[in-house]
Amino acid sequence: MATAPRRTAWPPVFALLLLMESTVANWWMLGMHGSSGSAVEFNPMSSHKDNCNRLDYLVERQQQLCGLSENVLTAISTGAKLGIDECQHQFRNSRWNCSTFSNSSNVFGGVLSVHSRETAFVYAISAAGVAYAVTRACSRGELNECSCDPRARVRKTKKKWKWGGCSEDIRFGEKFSKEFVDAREHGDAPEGLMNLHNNEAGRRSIRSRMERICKCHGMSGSCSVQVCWRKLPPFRVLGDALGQAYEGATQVKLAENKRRRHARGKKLRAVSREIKPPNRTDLVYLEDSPDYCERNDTMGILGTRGRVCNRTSPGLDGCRLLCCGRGHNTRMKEVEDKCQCRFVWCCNVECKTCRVRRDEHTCK
Amino acid sequence: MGQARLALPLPVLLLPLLLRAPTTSAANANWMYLGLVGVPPPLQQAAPSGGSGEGEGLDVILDDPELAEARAVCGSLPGLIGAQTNVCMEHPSAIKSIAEGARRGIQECQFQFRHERWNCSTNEHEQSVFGYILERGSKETAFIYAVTSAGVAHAVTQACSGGELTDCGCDPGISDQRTTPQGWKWGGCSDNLHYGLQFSRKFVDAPERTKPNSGDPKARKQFAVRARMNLHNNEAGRQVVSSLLRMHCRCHGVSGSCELKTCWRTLPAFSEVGDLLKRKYRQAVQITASRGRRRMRRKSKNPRSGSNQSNRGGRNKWKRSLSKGDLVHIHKSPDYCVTDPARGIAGTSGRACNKTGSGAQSCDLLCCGRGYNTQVVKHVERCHCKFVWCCYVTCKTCETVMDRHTCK
Repeated sequence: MATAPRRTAWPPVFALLLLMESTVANWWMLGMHGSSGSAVEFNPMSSHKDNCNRLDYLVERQQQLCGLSENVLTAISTGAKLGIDECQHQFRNSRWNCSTFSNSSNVFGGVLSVHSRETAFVYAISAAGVAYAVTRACSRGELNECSCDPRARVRKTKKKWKWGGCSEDIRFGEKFSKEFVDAREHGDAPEGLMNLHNNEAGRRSIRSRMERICKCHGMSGSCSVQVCWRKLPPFRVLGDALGQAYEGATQVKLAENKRRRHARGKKLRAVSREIKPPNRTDLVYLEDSPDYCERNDTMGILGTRGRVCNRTSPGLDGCRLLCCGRGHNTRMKEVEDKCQCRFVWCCNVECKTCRVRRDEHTCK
Repeated sequence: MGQARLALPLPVLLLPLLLRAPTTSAANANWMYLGLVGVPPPLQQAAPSGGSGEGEGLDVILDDPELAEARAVCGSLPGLIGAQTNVCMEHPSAIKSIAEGARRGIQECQFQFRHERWNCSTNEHEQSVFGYILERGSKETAFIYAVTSAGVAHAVTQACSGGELTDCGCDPGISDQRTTPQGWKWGGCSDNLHYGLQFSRKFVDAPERTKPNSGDPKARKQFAVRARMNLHNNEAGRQVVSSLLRMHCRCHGVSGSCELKTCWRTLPAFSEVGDLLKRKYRQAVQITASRGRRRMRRKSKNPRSGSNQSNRGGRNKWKRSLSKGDLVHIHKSPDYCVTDPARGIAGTSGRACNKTGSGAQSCDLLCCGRGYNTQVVKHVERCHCKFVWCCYVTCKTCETVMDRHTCK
C-alpha cells in the first residue's frame, strides 16, 4: 500500500486495482458475522489466541491485540457491527446507502478505494465503534485489561456532588482503538494520513459527548449526597455528529514540509488557503466522490435503480435527487396497518388491522 | 424591512443600452430587462430637447417635441415588442414606472428565493433577464410572471397617486363627498389601483396576445398553451395586489374625537405581495392543455400527488376548479443543484448555507448532498460607541471571527 502512491506514472486502471487489493480483507469483516458476535465460525475447543491467529485479514499487531484475552474479539466485532449499522442508518437516504457485501472479503466493495468523504466517514465511525464497544466491555467487566475509570473517583469537584459509581473508561477504549484500528495504516502515504486522521476524529467524537449520570442518596431521596459518573452517550449521538462532520468534511492534499524533509515532514493541508484548516475532530478526504447513480460492479456501487424515494421531499431522499433525474415509477401498494386503536381498561390498547393502499415510488 | 430591501440603487447602464440595437435576440428579449437597466431620463437622452434653444428649425420638423421625445425613448428601449412600444408612446411618462415595477418584481423575487436552490438569479448581460428559466414553463416561471406583473400594477398605481403620471391621479370613483351609512367619508387620495391593473394588463400581457408568425401548427399550439399559462399567472399576480388593498382611516374633530372620519384606499407594501405570491408558488398547480381549447385543467387527478402532501380533505381537491389566484405551470422544475449554463441554471455551488437547522437554507438541502466548505471570516465592526460632549461619537473597532459555510 505504501508503494502505490509513488508509482503514479502507472496507468490509472492498474493503480486502481492495486489500491483495491489493499482495501480487500479488513477487520470490518468481524462486524459481518450476524448478531451473535464473532465466535460463530471458531472452534470453541481451541484457545482464543489460536482463533485470532487464524483470522488472516488481521495484520500481525491486530492479531496480538485480539489474543490479549478471551473477550477482546467479541468486543471488536461488536464495535465493527456498531459502526456498520450506524453507517447504514446515516446513509439510508443517500445515493450510496453504505451497502455491505457479506459474500465478499471486501466488506464495502470497492467504494472505499476512492478516498472520498464516504470513506472518511466509514473509517471514523468504525474507529469510534471499536472505542465504544471496548469501553463498554470494560465497564461490564468483560475484559481483564481494564475496568471502570480509575481516575474519576479520585477527582474532586467543587459542586455538591461527588464522583462515584463506575465511570466508563473512554481513555482505555480510545487507546485500544488507536492501537488496533490504526495498526493497518502507514503515515507516509496520503491515504494512510487521511485514514489516521479520520480514525482519530471518530474516536474524539466520543470524548466530548460523554454524559454525566447522577443519583441521589440520603433519607427518602433528600439528595444530601449526590453521586455522579460518566457514561457513554447512545451510539446514535456519535453517528449524528460524524454525519454532520461528513457534510462539512474538508478536502485535503499532501503538503510536504521542505524544511524537515526527513522527520515526519508529510502533512495534509486543505486544498485551498481560503478553506479553514481541518482540526482533529473534522473529517478529511482526498478525492471527490463518484455520483453513485449507476450500478458499477467493480466498484461495488449498487446504483439507485429500484430504491424507494419520497416524492415530495426536496432533500436527498426525494425522488428528484435520489433517482438522478431518471424519474420514478409509482405503484399502489397495500400495506397492513394498525387502525381504530382503543384503550381498554386496564391497561391494553386494542387495534384492528386495516389494509391501506399507499403509493410507493421507486427510482427508474 | 420592505424599505430596506427596495433601496438598491437603480442601475443606470445607459451607455450600453443606447449603443445596443434594440432588435438583438428579439425572440428572447424581455421587457423585464427594463428592471435591470432602468430607463434613461428623457431630458438628457432626447436630442431635440437639448437643441430646442438653438433654433426654430427643429421645431418645424418635429412639430411636437414631446412626441419626438417619446419616440426617442420608447424606440430605444430594449426588449419591448411592437404593442408594448405603442403603449409606451401613448404614455411616455409611465415607462419609468414600468421599469420600476419590473425592478420591484425582480428584487422581490430575489428576496423571496434568497434561501432556495433557485435564487432568482438574473443575467445582466442578457436581455432575456432570466434566460432559460422563462422558456421552461415551471413553477419558477409562473412566479416570475406573477411578481413582475404585480410589480408593474403596483408601481404604476403608486406613480398615479404621487402625481408623476399625466393620465391618472387619485381614484376618482370614490372621491364623492357624501357620508357613508357607517358614518365616515371617502377622502384623501385613494390609490387608483384600477388604472394600475388596466395598465399592467395592457402592457405586460401584450406579448402573449400577439400570435407568432410561424406556420408550424405544433409550435403554434405550444405557444398557445404557454400564452394561456402566462396570462393566467400575470392575472394572478395582479389579483394578489388587489386582494391586499387596504383601507386607511383618520379621525378628525376636537382632540381626535372622531366626529368626522375620512378613509382612503392604500396599496399594500410590495413585500406583502411577495409573501403571498410565495405562498401561492408553493401550492402552484400543474396544468395540461385540454381539448376544450379555452380552459386549463389540473394535470393530476390523484389528490395525493397534487400540490399538497397531506391526505386531509384531498378527496374533493381535484374537483375544485382552478381559481383565478392560483399560480399554474406546465413543466416540472429541475432540481437546480448542478450548474448547467445551457439551461440557465446557476447551481448551488458556492452558495452560503446554514450548518444547523432544517430549512431550505440548511447545508443539507441547499448543497444537494455535496457537502460544504468552511471558511473563517473576520468581521470588523464598530462597537462600544460613546458620545463625547460635544459633539462626536467615538467607537472602537471590534473583530469577530466567524465560520462561513458554502456549498461545494
